[in-house]
Amino acid sequence: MLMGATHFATPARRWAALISLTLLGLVGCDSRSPQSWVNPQGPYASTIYDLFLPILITAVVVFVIVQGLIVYSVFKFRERPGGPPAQQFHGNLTIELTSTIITALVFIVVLAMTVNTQQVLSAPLETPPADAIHVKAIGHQWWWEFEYQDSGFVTASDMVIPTGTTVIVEVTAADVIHAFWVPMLTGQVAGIPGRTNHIWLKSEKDGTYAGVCNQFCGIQHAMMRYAAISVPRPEFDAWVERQRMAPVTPVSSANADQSLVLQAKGAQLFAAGACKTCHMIRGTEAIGKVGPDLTHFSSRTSIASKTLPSTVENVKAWLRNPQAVKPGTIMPNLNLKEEDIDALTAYLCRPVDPSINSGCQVAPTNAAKK
Amino acid sequence: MAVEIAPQVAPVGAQVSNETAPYKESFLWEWATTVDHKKIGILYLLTGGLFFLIGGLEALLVRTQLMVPRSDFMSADLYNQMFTMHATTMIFLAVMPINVGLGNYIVPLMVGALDMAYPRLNAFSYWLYLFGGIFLNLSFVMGGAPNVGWFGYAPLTENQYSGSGTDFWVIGLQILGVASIAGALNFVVTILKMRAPGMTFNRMPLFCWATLVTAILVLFAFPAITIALFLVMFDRHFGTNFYNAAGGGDPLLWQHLFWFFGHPEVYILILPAFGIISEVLPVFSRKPIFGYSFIAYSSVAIGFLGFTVWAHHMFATGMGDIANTAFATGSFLIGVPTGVKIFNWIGTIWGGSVRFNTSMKFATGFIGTFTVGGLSGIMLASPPVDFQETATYFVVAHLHYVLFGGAIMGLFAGLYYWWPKMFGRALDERIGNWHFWAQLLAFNITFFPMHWLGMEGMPRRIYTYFPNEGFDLWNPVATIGSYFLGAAVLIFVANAVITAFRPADATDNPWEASSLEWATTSPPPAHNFDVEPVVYSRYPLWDISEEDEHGGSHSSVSSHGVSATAIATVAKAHDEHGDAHESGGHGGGHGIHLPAPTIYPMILALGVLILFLAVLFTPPTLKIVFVVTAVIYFVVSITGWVKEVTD
Amino acid sequence: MVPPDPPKDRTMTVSTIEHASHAVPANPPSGMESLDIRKLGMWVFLGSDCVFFASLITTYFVNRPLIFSGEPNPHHTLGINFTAILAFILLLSSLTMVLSLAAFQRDNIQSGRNWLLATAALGTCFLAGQAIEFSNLAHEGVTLSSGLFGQCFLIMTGFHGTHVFIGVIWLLACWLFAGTGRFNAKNFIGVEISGLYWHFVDLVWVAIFTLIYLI
Repeated sequence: MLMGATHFATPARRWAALISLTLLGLVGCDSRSPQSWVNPQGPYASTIYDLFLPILITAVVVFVIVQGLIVYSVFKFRERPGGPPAQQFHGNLTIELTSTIITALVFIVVLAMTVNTQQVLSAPLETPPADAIHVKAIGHQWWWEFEYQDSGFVTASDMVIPTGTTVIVEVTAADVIHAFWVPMLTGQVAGIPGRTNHIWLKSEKDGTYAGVCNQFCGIQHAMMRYAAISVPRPEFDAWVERQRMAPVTPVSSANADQSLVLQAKGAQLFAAGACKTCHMIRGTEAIGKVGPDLTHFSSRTSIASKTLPSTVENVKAWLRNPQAVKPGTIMPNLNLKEEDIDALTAYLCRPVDPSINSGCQVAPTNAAKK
Repeated sequence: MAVEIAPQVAPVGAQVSNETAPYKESFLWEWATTVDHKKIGILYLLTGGLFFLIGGLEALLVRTQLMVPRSDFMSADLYNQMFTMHATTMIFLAVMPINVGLGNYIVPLMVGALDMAYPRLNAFSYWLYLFGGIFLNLSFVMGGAPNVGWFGYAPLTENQYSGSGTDFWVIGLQILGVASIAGALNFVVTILKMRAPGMTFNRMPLFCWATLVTAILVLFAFPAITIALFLVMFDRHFGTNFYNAAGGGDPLLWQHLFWFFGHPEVYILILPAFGIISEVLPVFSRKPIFGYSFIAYSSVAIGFLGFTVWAHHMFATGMGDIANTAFATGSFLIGVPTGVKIFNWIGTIWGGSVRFNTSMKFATGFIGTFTVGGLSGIMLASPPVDFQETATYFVVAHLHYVLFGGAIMGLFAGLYYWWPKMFGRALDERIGNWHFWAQLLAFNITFFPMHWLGMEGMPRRIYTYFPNEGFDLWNPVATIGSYFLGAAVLIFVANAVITAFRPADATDNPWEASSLEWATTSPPPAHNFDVEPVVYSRYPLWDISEEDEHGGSHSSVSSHGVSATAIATVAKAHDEHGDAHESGGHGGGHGIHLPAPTIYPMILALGVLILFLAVLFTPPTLKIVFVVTAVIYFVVSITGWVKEVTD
Repeated sequence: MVPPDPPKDRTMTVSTIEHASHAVPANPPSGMESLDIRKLGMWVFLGSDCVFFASLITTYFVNRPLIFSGEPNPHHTLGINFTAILAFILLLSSLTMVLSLAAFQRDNIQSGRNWLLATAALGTCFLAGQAIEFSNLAHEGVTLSSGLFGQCFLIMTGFHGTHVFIGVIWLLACWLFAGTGRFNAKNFIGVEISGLYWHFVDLVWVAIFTLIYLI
């Protein structure tokens, strides 16, 4: 390509280096990311990836051609003392038409592939599989509420799903626009107050798939994370059953042990104090809907939308001053006394789902990894 | 009517031109009252350049926060202000005004005119822009800068979800919108009406084509965002619910109105750069542009189609497959004229005798980096792929490749190219070489990895991220790159400063270019041309005739494309008013008179600023004081302005 | 590479006729000769202004299904008869505007001034009528914050009314200037341009009236 040159010019070398670095980088990009959609783990995401890859390859080829032509022409036709004069042509209809048509053809092909992919992606929404489950995802500033429509309960941040089953997600928002996105499993869709959007996902392997809010929604947009936790169907069904039950409220009695006394005190504080205006714990007087439902809080893997892993210490830190953990969060600093914090933590973190080894219900010595 | 030729003020170190001023004015007053398109152009360039540095600083702060995970360099709120202001500043206070500045200086010269069509309105546009920019940045010290993103999606901009910064944003952009519309009006009328005799559209330089289309886009796109912002203002302060779902409104209405403006806006940002490249490449390849007609008409096509693709920014909002397909089709379609331009630019270099100076380096570098941005744009144009890429760092990479690798690179090509014409001396080539390579390398190091960050699923507009999620390597790389990018830009600043002290000895046409601005001195006298030029071809100074458009070389063209006998005088026949040397007061026989310098445009702009400041103060007495003051300014300035028009 | 010497005489510029075969006339037109530069500016501005109104009208139409689904039906609250009179007034004012321009073109300054005043007066009547209509609506509960109809309608017509107000001021300024002998049969472009603006404002009202009141 550089025939006629007496030596490799530095510009050409630099471009060659850049291109090869690019390609290497593409190959070696860090796919340990739990959010990497170029590492799809479900049919929705892999359908998109199957469309993306050919477009990417085409783009790289086009770029190499264009950049190659630029570098070549700048080099080959550089002015030299005694060199040939510039050729004074104004254009070439054939070349112009050909390049127009080829460009248009490439785009037509991509468009056709796009339309086909769209049909594949929309099909499960038009005719959902019989065993699909339905979850409504409601974005709030700055947490996600998940309403399991088939089973009638509400949870937050941890969206447990059965592996190998289609999950139809109805997405909306309570305040500003958010976006629901679990990159490894599905594309994103906006949650718009006053409107309902739909998307579906299906995981093919057990595991935890990171989810993010992908539409700027205010100060803590970065901390509006969640996870799609994919488990085998029997485990999912069991989880659903447990979630549907309201836990027993701890009540203190004369010869109750210390931890039960503390839990009961916490329960009383929760139901009587400011907590109930914003939070719900089924089976109690707390029926607030401003903040996340805390019914089965103790088994959730994280607090404050995965700002922190759920441990007793972190829960206490949150209760001490939510604004310090997540500045701007809607929950105000209630200036709780330390003993009340201990009681509330004991109540919220009491083991409700002992078959699950996660959340602040787990004692620190066997605390599950995040 | 008396016409004073505004005295020519030379930049520092330059020789004073041989125009003698009838009276001496203070430096400040001269620049405050100027209606000369050249001075106004320089004002735009200086102010735009300053805001570019401010926006760049905001970017460096953003990147510093993202250098490491869970960084506490900035609070979440401050970060959100930073990225909002970075984008708003770069788009509205830097790139657009620098485009306008170059256009202001060059377009009247290129078409052979004495000034813009409405010189006082021109001044007004500049002052309103300056005050709008000041207004917007005042927010930093008056309750916090806007923090809703430069695109301010409702209902985040409602007053229950955002604070006073949003008011600055809403009002500031409306002010800037008025300034832009007024400026665009000027460009359209100038290009339509004030071309030199013989300069048909078919002979008009491509930079003028680009500027014309850009101006038309501004005229039809800005009203949409102005209304959209107007409605936000009413939602926030007058109890309406246009975007409030709870009150029956629809948040998506904002997105449609905004992006109906927003998409043409990105063409407003890039088209001037396309025009610059189309000027620079032929000059330094020593041959005509390849496919003039196609480049001219494709600019028009892009402008028109730009209004049909807005909702490709909304693919993930649930519009449905049919709407998505429609907008995807338009988005692919618009890639065709853009793509072919790229091949035409390569065709221009091909077969030439390339002088690879700094301007040419930026021009050729532009083609490559813009292509990368265009290709990532094609990926985004496909809705399913967009579902994974939108609002991630993939888009951040895309937009910076087209806006920085595109618009800014193009602007630097233009600056290096037209610098001798504007300032009488060229920028230094050796420093320019360092500038170019440093900037190219640093730019790619900063923004290329963002493609990968997007593919790893990193959302945009997040103030921090967590470790071990795949973002730990490329974020610090991008941050370091950005520091080098800042340094590279400073190399340019150093170049400008250093060369300012060199003698202003540039010739009329140092690059042996073909368009009319090179047919007068560098810098031009106040009245631009001593004699009105008459144009018989696309390349007046190269004297290539139209007959040879489809191939064949021209006998009068020397080995470097410049005719040795290109000069003749024809225009005396046109000067109906007699003596050619007093042509400073008359233009082209169309009844245009160059107005004298005047302070009223600035006062009117100040009045607008004061009026809008009134909106922000809550104590009623302060509000009234500001409103009354503004009204006084309006009355004084409009009366004075109108009087001057009628004189 | 040395650039060619600059021409010694700086009063000379530009191209030459290279081949007689395509000599062009000494004063070749560059297009758009007939349209005065100030008129062109007004036309371009009006084109841009169209998009302002189009955005507002679109907002109304986007909300229309919701507006007409609730109670009360806006057509019941709007005083169509009264507003029709206002529309007529505005149309009449366009006529007086045309008469004013015609008078100036015939060098009949006094008549021109009178018709200008009449136009401004009719415009003021329109504004007064709009104010009455707004207050009537407010009494019937249609305000900026009363719902989708109130906000869309009031902002659209308010925006238009502001245009009328500016137009009236402009017409009065023309009337004042005409008194100093500024406009005559040779120089009437100022009146013509204000007429263009005024007719535009009238046309917009016709559109709004049709779209909101009649359909």
